[in-house]
Amino acid sequence: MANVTGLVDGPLGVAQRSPPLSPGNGAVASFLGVVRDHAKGRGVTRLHYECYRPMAEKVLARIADDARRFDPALVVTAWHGLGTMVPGEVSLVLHASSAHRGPAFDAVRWLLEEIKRELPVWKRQTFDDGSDEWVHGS
Amino acid sequence: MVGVSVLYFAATRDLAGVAEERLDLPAELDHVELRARLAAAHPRLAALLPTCRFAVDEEIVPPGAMRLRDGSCLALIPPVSGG
Repeated sequence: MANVTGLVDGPLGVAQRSPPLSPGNGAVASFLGVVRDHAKGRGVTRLHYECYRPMAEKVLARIADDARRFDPALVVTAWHGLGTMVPGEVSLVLHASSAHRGPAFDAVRWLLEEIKRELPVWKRQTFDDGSDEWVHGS
Repeated sequence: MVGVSVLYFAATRDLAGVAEERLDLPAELDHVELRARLAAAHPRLAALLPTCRFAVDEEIVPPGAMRLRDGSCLALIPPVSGG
């Protein structure tokens, strides 16, 4: 199976949260990034995500391909949501599918850290007092 | 000099006051000179520039010399915060 990656408008839904299953892959490790209602001790009412789309699409696909270092047969699904989201909504979905649990767990953790380090996506958070700021680095 | 499209995202866009513009830049320059030229064009950007990386035609450019050509797309990449 080929990797599936993309950046889509809005929070991620059930379709993206369901991992693709294949009989040869006995382990799927998944990660959901959920919009949190607090940051730095303050209440957060919403996040707004933007990206440099053509570069982000390439980088996300490349990160998914690079995760095959954990298992040449690894299959990755990676979706990032864009635009405005409120706490409790899902902004990131990762699935790493492998024959065995070790590479699946290792790959999904690695994917998350690479995405946080390299994917050209930025979020602006709005606090419960109405102020807002760009988050740079996370 | 070559004519380059410059893209600004997130806080760099707010500080520059534009999302995209055309700038004339030397065909070969290093990060120090690029930062100086961007700071001259947008003084409010100066404080953020040391934290930014640069992408040319959608690929991050390693520190050091970079080459630009007419029509290159140069993007400022402030520290990312996806996830």
